[in-house]
Amino acid sequence: MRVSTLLASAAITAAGWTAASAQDVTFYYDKSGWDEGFAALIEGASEASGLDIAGQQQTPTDRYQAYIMSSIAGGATPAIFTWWNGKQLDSLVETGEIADLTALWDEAIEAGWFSEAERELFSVDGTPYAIPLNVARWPVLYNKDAFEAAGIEQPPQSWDELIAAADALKEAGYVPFNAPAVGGWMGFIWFSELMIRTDPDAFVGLTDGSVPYDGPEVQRAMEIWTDFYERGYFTDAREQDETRFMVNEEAAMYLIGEWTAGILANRGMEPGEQIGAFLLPPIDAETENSVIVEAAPIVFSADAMEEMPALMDAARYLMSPEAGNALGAANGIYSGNLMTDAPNAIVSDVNAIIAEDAPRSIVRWWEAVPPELQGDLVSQMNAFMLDPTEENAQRVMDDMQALNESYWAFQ
Amino acid sequence: MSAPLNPPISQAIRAEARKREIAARRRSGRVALLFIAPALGLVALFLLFPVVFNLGLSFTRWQRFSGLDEFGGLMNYQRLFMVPYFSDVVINTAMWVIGAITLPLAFGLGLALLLRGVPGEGLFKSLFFLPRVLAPAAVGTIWFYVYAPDGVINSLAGAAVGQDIDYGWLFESHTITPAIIMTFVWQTLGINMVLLLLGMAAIPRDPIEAAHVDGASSWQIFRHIVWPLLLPTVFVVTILNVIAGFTAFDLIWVMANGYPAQRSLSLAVYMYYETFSNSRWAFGAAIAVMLSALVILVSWALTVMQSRVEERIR
Repeated sequence: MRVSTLLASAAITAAGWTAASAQDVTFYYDKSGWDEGFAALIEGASEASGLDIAGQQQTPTDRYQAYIMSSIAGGATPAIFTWWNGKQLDSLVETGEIADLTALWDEAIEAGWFSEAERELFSVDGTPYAIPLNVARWPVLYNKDAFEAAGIEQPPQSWDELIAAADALKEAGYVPFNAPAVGGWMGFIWFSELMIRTDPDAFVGLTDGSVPYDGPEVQRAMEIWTDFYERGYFTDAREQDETRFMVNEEAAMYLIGEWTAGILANRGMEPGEQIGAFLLPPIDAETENSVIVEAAPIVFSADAMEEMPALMDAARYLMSPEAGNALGAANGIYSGNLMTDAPNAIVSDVNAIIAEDAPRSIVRWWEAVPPELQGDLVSQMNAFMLDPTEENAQRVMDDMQALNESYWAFQ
Repeated sequence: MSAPLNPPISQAIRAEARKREIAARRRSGRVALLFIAPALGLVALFLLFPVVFNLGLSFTRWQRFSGLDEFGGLMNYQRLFMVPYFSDVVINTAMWVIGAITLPLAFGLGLALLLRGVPGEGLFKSLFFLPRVLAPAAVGTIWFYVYAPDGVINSLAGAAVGQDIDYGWLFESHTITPAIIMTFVWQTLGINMVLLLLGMAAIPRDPIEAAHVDGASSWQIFRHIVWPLLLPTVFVVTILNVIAGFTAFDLIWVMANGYPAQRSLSLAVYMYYETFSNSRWAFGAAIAVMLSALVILVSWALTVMQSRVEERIR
């Protein structure tokens, strides 16, 4: 009896093991709400490579990151997984576990799928180590009806026009900007934007420790931010529904990633018809025009790529216009591929603005800053939004710099 | 010459019997060890090993992908004192421990005294105990909205004073921790009450009745008879509350994640935050060591006090 039980257990284990072995590759990701898009990407990548690829979503993000980091530390780097660019990608590449994708990017650029600008977003020291899952620019989304009601004929082209538009919107009964601090991460949005609109180089310097968080560059951005609050340009930062003030048309503009157009569309605000987009103008005429870009990379294990050359075919598919269109159709997400159809009118508008103005692409603060500093610093920015006074602005700058110094002292 | 009382043959028998007894004891000891071996193994694997491993980790430089094999000495312990808001973390933890000791105990004791012998005692006890069976994450979510600017508390306060109030209890640095502690009190006073009621039920009736006959007031009876005899239970409840206070996590994580400027962090939440949100594994391990040392120290002090009080009562 005991022997038969043992044999049965062994058989079940062996069956399970065989089933697991039949799975060639697992594609790990943490993006919740993109299931349909990932299913389409994985199906296409499996077909293109002949590999049996399975998706594995893990949330929340901190648990996902812990899983990936401990897998790499334990010598079991997942074959395909999503990650973050900027400093997050730098430290991942430093492990030596990530595949160099130079040849694939050369092909993609030659085919006209991407430009050098996108390649740069996924490169470390000039070498591309990732392919784009999505690329999102950060424009101001605006309510066209509100602009019309306030007598604003076109999106602001200069800082003075922006202030005039904000005042006109206030006059017409709108709060000019929706600015929630929900989720613990949104504090960096206006901080980053005001930094790049006053001094984009200083913004980049903040992320590598060469510019202090209490220096004159940050002082200026914080003064403008405080002034905007004094003027009543922002909604209550304590609101927990991040799009509520936009959807109920209390607020007229929303500085956010273009992917929010999909969220607004789901809540009844049609991109293109009710919602338009523009880039915030520089504060000084001589300041370089720029745009914040958020990019989500897909990376591949160097060992897995060597063991399974067909993985390169999967990577090629994931960069292709077909994959981009599949993701766009499923979730309204823009892959950054220049040959894909824009998934909505906002992406289309932003593509047109970028083609015309050619602004400098700047990696979003969240990805650009050392990951160990993200939470601490953004929490300070949130704290400012909850108490936007001059006194608190100074305290926030002092605390941010103390945290910044503490971090760099240990590097 | 008389014969010896204990002839050599009897000594040999006794020695043999002793040997057999020792062998039997050893056998039964081995059997006992065999029985407790699985439990010992599990404790060693899942408790002792992680504790020792964590202690070792706290002296490394492990963060993100690397540093596990690099010795960092006391670096992580020094770093703790360089964090600008570390004093807030310590103050919040102290507030949690003091609040967790005193408030649930005081309210629990008050309820236990009030409800004893009251008609419908069972129903009231169940009602007050009910929050204890809810998941802290659910409680935190509910109370987040109770404390919201347009939540129940502000609505009631506004109705009382006849004007709109939109105070952000969880968005102000000086009210966030007390507000979350009050949620903790709401959830835990029921279990405190039940434990104290059990303690009261174990108090003999004779001295209380004798005191009544001698004309003692209710307060005198409580002060000189009930309270001293209840002290052992109070100590047990206090130790449980101290541990709950030091390790408070769920409510803070749900109700105050990120707001405002880490002003709500306790040591337990800070440990998780540094370990999993910032991926500073070694630093998180150092915070865990500090937290464990504090919990052990305070619990030990309370246990010593408890045994002294019990001795005095005896």
